[in-house]
Amino acid sequence: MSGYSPEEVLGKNCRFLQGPATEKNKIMEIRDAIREEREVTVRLLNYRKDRSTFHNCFHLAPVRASNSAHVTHYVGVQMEVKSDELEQIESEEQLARQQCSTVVEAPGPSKAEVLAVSAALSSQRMPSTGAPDSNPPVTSSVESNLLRALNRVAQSFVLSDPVAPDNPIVHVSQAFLDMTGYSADEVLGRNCRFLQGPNTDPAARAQLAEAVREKKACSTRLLNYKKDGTPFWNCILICPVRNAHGEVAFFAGVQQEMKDTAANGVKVDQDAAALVPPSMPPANKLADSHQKAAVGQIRVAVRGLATGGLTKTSSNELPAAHGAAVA
Amino acid sequence: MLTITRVPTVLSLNQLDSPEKDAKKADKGNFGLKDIVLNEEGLADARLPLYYFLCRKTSFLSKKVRSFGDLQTVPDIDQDSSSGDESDQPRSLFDHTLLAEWENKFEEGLFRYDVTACQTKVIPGDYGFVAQLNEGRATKKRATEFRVDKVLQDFDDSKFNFTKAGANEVLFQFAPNPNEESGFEEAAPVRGAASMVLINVSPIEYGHCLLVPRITDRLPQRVDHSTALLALQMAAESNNPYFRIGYNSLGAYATINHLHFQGYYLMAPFPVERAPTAPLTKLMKRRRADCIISRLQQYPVRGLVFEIGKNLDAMAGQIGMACEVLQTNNIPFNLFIVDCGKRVFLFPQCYAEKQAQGLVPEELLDTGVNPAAFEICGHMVLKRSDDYVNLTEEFTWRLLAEVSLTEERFQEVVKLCFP
Ligand SMILES: Cc1cc2nc3c(=O)[nH]c(=O)nc-3n(C[C@H](O)[C@H](O)[C@H](O)COP(=O)(O)O)c2cc1C
Repeated sequence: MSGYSPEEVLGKNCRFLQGPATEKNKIMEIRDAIREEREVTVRLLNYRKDRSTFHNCFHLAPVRASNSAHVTHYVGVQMEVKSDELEQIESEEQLARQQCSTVVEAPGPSKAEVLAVSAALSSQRMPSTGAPDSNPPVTSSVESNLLRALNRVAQSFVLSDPVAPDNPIVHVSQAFLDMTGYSADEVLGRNCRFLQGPNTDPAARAQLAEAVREKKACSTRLLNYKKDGTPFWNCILICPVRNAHGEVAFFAGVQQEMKDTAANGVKVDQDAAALVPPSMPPANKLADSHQKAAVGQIRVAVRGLATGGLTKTSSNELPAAHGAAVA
Repeated sequence: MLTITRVPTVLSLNQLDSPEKDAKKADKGNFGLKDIVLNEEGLADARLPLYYFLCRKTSFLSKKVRSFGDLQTVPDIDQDSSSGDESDQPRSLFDHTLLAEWENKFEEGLFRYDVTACQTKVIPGDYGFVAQLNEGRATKKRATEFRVDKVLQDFDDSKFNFTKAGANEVLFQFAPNPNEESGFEEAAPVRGAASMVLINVSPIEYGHCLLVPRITDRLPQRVDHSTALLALQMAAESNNPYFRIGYNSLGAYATINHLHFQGYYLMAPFPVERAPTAPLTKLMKRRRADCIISRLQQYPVRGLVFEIGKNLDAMAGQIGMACEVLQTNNIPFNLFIVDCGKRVFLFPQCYAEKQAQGLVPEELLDTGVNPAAFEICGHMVLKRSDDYVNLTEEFTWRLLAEVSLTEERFQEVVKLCFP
C-alpha cells in the first residue's frame, strides 16, 4: 500500500506517511489520542514512497500489558479509501450533518483487526520492534496519560502523594534510578528519606520536613547516599504541584547531584564523608535553572487536560482494511 | 466614537493602584530590579537575562525541517522519542529558559495569584472547549473607557506602557543571532532597542508571558511584516506544540497600546486547532509559495488560516500584509500562532463594536468573557463560579458566534486582504 519496505519502516515514527497536504487537524487528533492513551480513528491524506497520495482511514489503539495499565505498544491499522468511495462517504457525511444526525458507525473490519492484534500483543508480549514507545519501565502509579509528559522530563525527580500517610513516592524518573542505583520497585511506595544516612545534616532535613508539613516549596543541599552506600551532595528542590482542579495533587522533588569538581567547590571525600559531615557546597545557578525548568515542565504536565475523545472524532469510521502496522 | 467601559486586565504590577501594588512590591526583593523601569535610562546600566536565537529568517526550511520535519510532520513532543538515554539537554533551550525563569518569578511571588490553583476542565461536546475559573484576575481598578472603533492609535507615553514596567518582570531579552545556535546568558547588557519577554502578572495558564518587540521604540499595537516575524520566530524557538502565541488588536480587546504578543502553555488542544480548513473558494483559492491560505470551517468564528510554505519570513510577509490591510481599514482582529509557528489563524472580529452599540445579548455580557485571541480559539476564562459550572458547548458557541463577521462581510474582508 505505501510502497516502503520493512527495513524502511521499522523503528521509525509513522509520520513519514504524512506530506504537505495532510490535514493538520487530523494529525492533532492522533497526537492527542496518543497523549491520552486512547483509541482514535481519523481519515487523512497520506503519501506513498513515490509521493503519490492516498486517503488513509487510520485507526490507532493503545495496547496495554496484560496485567497493567501501561501502554506497551500502539497498533495502527491503515485502510486505503478509494476516491470514489470517498466522494460517496463525504456526501453521506454532509447529508448527515445537514440532517443533524450522527453518522452511523460502519461495521468495518478495522476495529476487529485492531482487537485481534491487541490481543496477540498483550498475551504474547511480542518482541519489541525497537520503537522507543515499547516496554516503558514501570516507574509510576500516576494516571497513565500523565506518564508520557512526565517521561519527557530529563532530570532526576520523584512525585509523592501528599494525601497518603508519610508522602510515599508514586512516580520516579529514570534519571533518579540511574543516579541512585535503586530500581523502581525499591523506590515506589516509600518516603524519599531512604536516601539519607548517618551524615545527613539534621537541619536540612528539618527544613524539608517543615516544607512538607506546610505544603510549601523548599530548596536545600544535603548529603544523600546511593544504594551502594556512596555519599553524594544532593541539591534538592521540593514543591507542591497542583492539577487541573487546582488541588495539590503531588509533591515534586527534583534532585541534582553536585559532582565532585574543583570548579564548583563540591568535595565529597568518600571515607571522610562516612565519618564527618563535609561542608555544604555553594549553590549552583545552572543546577538551579535545570531544576526550575523541570518543575515548570511537571506543573504544565500535571495541569494537562484529557479530552477523552470527542464525539466528533468517531464519525470518520470507514470500511475496507488494507494493512496493519505495529509501532 | 464607539467605546466600551471595562476594567483593564493588569499585565504588569506597575499598572496597579498604589495600595495593591505596594502590598505586592513589598514581597521578596529581586536585587533592586523592581525599582528599575524598562526605559532608556533604566536599561542603560541594567544587566538582564538574554536568550538569543538562531536567526532562521530564510534558512527555516533548510535548517529546521530536515532534522525535525516541517508542518507535515508537526514536531510533536508526545510522539518524538525520549528514552532517557539522551544527554540532560532539554529538547528546546527556549522552553527550558522560559519555564525556568517563569518558575523563578512564581517562587518570588510576582504573580497576582497562583494560576495553577485555578480550576480548569474540558466542556463536554464535539469541540472540547476549555473552561477555566479565574477569580483572581479581577482587580479593584476603576473601569476605564476604551475606544473600539480605532484600530490604529498613536503611542501615548502618558498612559501605561511596558517602558513603565519593573525590570523584575523581565524573563529575558529576546534577540536574533545571525551566526550561531540559540543560547542563553544570565546577565547581559541591553543593547539598543531590545525585544523583551515579560511575565504577565495576571496569567491565564502556566508560562504566560508577553513579547514586547523593541521595547524602547515604543511601537503602538500594530502588526507588520517584521513584528509578525518576531512572534513567529518565538513560536518556532519553542519545541512544544502546547505553547501558543496570541495577539489582540485595539478594538479586539487589547488594553495596552504598546505592541505586545502573549503566549502560554496549555497541555490540551485548542478547539480551533481541530477545526477543518478549506481553500477559500474556487475563485480566490490561492496556493502561494509563500504560504498556503485557507479558511476555517465548522467553527463559530470565521477566520483565515496561514500555513507555512517557503519559510517563516515569507509567511510573516503574507500575515503582515493582511494585518496592514485590516489596520488601515479599521477592522479589529486577533491572531493565534500554533504548531511552533507553522500555522497561524487570523480572525477579523466585531464583538467590541457590537458591545459598544448595545447589540450583544445581556446573558453573554454577564459572563464577563472578553473574546480576545485565546477565548476565540476556545479557551474560556470565567470570573464567576456559576458560569464555570454551567458553561456548555452550546453557550460557548453562541458567544463566539457573536464575535464573527457575517459571511458576507467576511468575504468582503478577504477580498480586501487578497485583492
Ligand atoms: C517529593 C519529595 C522528594 C524528596 N526527595 C528527597 C531526596 O531526594 N533526598 C532527601 O534526602 N530527602 C528528600 N525528601 C525529603 C524526605 O522525604 C522527608 O520529607 C524529609 O526527610 C523530612 O522528613 P522526616 O524528618 O520525617 O524524615 C523528599 C520529600 C518529598 C516530599
